[in-house]
Amino acid sequence: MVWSAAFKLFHWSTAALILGMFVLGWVAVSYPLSPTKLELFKWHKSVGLLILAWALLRLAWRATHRGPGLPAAMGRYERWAAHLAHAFLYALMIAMPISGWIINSASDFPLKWFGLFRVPQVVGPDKGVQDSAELVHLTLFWTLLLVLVVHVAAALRHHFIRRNDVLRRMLPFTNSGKPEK
Amino acid sequence: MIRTALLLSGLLLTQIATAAEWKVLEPDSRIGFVATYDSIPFQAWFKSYDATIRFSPDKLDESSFDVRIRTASVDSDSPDRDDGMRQREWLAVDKYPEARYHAERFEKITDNHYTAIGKLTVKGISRDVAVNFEWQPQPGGKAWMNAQARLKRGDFNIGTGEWARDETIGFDIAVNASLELASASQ
Repeated sequence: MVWSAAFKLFHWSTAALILGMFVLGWVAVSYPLSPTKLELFKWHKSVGLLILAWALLRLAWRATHRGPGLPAAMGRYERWAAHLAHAFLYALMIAMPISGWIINSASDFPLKWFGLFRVPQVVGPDKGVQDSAELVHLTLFWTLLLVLVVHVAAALRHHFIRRNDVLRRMLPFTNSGKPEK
Repeated sequence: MIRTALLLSGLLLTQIATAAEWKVLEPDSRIGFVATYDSIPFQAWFKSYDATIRFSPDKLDESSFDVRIRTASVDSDSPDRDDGMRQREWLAVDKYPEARYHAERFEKITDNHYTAIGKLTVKGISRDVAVNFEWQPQPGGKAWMNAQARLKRGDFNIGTGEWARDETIGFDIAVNASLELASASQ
């Protein structure tokens, strides 16, 4: 059994958004102060909040829809590791945007989500809070990068070493309904 | 003897002719501006300034404002933004540490409402700027003054280069001041 189209859409769109965010974030931070830098940050912040909303929606979807489940051949510790990694990924998809939202609020820069409407500030202007939230945001970034490396490595291991369908069943164009033999 | 008497009467006349001088009571006074970021307004205040206010509603001819603002003291509750505003493209506080407003022309609009017409100098550029203000005498020889002026930042080269467009930071700047004053004439 493969993942349904909705699950695949959640997975791959999030993957693309997160990769885009890594690039946007680093470029925005290192760019010299200019309208372009502010523009990059606006995109970074808007996409970040999109990821947050998307992750919450995805959790709701997961809670109400069944996935294919882990292969029966997986051992206890493997299962436990897989669940832990996935829990980490969900937690990071939520914590990362929230820490960014706190930075944005504490630094008192108004934000219009994709230029559409004003996003409320979650904390008041405070340099101390801003500095702490920046440290958290950066730490979460490295953590996310690390967990993503593990996530991709695990998928490749399933495919090339364990030779099961864990990777294939999440690929965008695998045929749903037909179980792998 | 006669000379001294003349000199004294001269001094006395000057005293009478001059409008009342006022001292700014700092804790309750503010000078700043409202600008927009992404069309959302934000307020900034200048924490350091000197204001020499000579004003009597019945002696507008003798009244004068002289306000000197330390541009580096800009504070909008966002150290990142404040650092940005201090840079060369914006207030260029290293090269132009002071902004000044000097007015000697006053017009009465209605009771308690006046307009000062003076020169505002920012980044070495001087332009005539009208400041509308409300003047409210308070008990105990005090007065309260609330003033506004409208500027286009481009007129003073505030926001140059890439910033000369208004895509993020708007062109309109609303200067505002609220001063609590005590008579310095006694």
